[in-house]
Amino acid sequence: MKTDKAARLFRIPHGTREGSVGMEINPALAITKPDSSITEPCKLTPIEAPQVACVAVIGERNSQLFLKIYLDALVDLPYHQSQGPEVKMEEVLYSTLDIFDDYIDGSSRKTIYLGRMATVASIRLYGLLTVTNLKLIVGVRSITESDAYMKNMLIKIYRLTVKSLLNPFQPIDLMIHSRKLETGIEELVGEFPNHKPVSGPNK
Amino acid sequence: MAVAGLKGKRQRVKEAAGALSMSKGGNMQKLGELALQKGERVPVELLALTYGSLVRQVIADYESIEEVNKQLDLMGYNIGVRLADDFFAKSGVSDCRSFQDSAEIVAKVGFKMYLNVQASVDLWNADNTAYSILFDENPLAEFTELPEEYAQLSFSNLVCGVIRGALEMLLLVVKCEFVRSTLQGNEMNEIRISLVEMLRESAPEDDED
Repeated sequence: MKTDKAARLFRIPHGTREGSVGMEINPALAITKPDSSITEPCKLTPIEAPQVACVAVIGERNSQLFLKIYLDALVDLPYHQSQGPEVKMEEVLYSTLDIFDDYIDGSSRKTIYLGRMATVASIRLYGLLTVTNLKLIVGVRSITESDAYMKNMLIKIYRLTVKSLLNPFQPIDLMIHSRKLETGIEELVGEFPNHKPVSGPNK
Repeated sequence: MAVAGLKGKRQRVKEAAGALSMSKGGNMQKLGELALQKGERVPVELLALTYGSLVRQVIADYESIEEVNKQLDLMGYNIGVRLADDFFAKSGVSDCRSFQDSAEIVAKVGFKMYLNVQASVDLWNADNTAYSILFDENPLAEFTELPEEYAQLSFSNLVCGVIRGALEMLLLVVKCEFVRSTLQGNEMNEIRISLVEMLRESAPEDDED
C-alpha cells in the first residue's frame, strides 16, 4: 500500500495541477497554521483509509444534486471541533466552485475536464464542468491515478447522472433520488484501485 | 399440420401450443422482426421522455392514482383502436379472430414491431380464456424510477389500453392489466389479458324503411 508521503495534518497545499490550466490555488483551501481547536478525526491510519473520499454532482445554480462522502477517507482532514470532518469536506467541495466559475463566461465551450483543482490535506479534488454547467467533483487520496483515469471516471459519473435525470419523476435542479445512480457510483468507486471502504459510505 | 376443422377446439389449441416453438411461434417471431425492420426507428430517449412527460401530466391533472391508471388505459384504448388497422397493414398477419391466436400475435408480432420488445405468452388458465404476456424490458420506462408515493401507479398502463383497444377491433373484448412490473421491484413485467366476451359481427341495418 502506498502512503501519501506528504500526508501531514497541517500541510499547505501548493499550486501546480497537472493537466489543467495554470490557476492559483484557492486560498480558502490552504491551511496556514495549527489551530488549537482542530482535532484529528478517524481512527484509521492513512495507509488503511479508502482511496475515494467523495463524489459530488452540483447543479447549474450550485444546488447539490448528489453527494457521497466516504468518512473513513477523511483521515487527516483537519476540522473544527464544532463540525465533523464531513462538514469540512463539504465546505472544501463548495469552495472549489469558484474554480469552476472561472470557466463559465457565457462563451460556447465543450465539456471541460479541469484536472486536479485543489488538494486539501491528502485529498485531491478533480473536476469536470459540462456544457450545461453541471459540475462533477471527485476527491481521491491516491497519488498514482493518471489524469486519463480520473477524466474517464468523471465522464462515467456524468453519464450516470444524465440517465438519472431522464427519469420523468426526477425534478430538475433538486437532489437526485435514484437508486440506479447510487448503485452505479458505488460500483465505480469500488473499481477504483485500492479503494477499500471499512465502514461504508457516510451519506 | 393438423387439419383444423375436424378436431375439437381444445385439441387444436394443444397442438398449436406444442407447435409454437417450431412453426407458429417461430413464424410469428419472424413476422415481428420483419415488420420491425420495415418500420422507422425512433431513439428510445425520445419515446421514454415523451411518455414520461405524458404520465406526469396525467398525474398532475387527476387526483388519485387509480384515476391516473384509468386515464392511461383510456388513452391507450384510443391508440389501440387505430393501431389495429396499421398493424394488419404492416405486419402481414392474416386476420385473427380467436382469442388463442391473438395471444401470439400480440406478444410476438405486436410487441416486437411497436416496442422492439421480446415478449412471450404463458400462464394460460384452464379454459383458455386468460393468458399473460411476459417481457423484461420496457422502453417506455427505460429511465424511470418510481418514487414511493406512486408505488400504486401502473406506469405503462397505456400499453394495456392499446392491447384492449386493438383486440376490440377484432371483436374480442378483454380485460388487460399489469400484474407485475419491473418498476415496482419485480424481475419481469407481466400483463394479464382475460377474455370478457366475444362480440358478434352485427349485420348492417337495413337502409330501407
